[in-house]
Amino acid sequence: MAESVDTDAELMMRVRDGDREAFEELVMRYQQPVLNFISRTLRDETEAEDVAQHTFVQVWKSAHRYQVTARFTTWLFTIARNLCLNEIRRRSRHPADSLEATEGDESEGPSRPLADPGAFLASDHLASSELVQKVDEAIGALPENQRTALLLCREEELSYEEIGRILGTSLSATKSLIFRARETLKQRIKPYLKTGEWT
Amino acid sequence: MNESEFKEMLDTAWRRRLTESELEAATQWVGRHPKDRPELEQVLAASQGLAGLPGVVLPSNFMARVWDGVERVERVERVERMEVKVKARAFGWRFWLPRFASAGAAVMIVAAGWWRYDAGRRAEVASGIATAADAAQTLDPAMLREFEALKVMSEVPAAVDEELLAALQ
Repeated sequence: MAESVDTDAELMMRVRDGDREAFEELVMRYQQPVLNFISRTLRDETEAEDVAQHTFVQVWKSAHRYQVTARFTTWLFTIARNLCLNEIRRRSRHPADSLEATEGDESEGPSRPLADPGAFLASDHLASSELVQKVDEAIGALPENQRTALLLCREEELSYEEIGRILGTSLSATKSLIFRARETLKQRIKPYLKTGEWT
Repeated sequence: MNESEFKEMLDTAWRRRLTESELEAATQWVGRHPKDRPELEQVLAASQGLAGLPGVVLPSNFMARVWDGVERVERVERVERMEVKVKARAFGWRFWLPRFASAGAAVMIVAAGWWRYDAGRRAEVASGIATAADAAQTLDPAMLREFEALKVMSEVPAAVDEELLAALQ
């Protein structure tokens, strides 16, 4: 990971000097995680593509402001999160735009559930795709800051300090957000693990 | 494994899938501590759910779209810079010079007018002083002999003059 961080910083230094190849290398490296993160935050794939694209445009545009002291991913996901918040604010100003997406989420669930046959103690009881769908729904129902904290912790393996920096919260507040998000997910899963049925 | 290591392992399980050895250690722990079993089950189930979350299919033209976006932003910035330059040019020396020139000309005309008026006035005063000086040179001191009588006459009330006028008529 440390090696990757150094390389990211080196690439960003080159991007700062207008090196297009270095920028493409960074985009190739982070396009999928950024797109996944934004898609899970906004719950809309089409908008996620636009916001992800805009995120990298911002990276190029703001490259001169990048400080090597900050880890690149922290900076990148801060940009992505800010753009997501803008999009969420825009939706709240135009509720009709997001109504369709919300209804779609509720009725259809994830469009491409990728079952993970990983071993866990209750695997005999759980249909993996159903579990994924329920977890996805539970994540969708979380407040934005809890959802972001949980996703960054899981998907990007960022430290609590880095997540706090992205969210603009203290370390204890970040831990609290993640704890509450995890508790919500556990509560959602608990009944099924007991009865084998989703309530 | 102790209690804190088990808690740490739960945190790890939230972040990523546990390795075989980690899972075995956790299973052994809950075997000895059955009260922790439900929590481990919940965390592992949630972790499996998180790991299985669908990834978004990346559009094949994503990089091209990013470059399009970059170029669009740069184009907008170029236009904005151009507008600033045009405004600067519009309100630059070409804008201000004729205005300053007009104002300067107006000031000069007013100043020239004032100068001419002031010069004329000074000439008049000088001419008056010269006339008075000439008159003073030609004045006969004998004329001032009856000065006191003339002065008293000028102090006689107007009514007396009117009476005198009436008597004469």
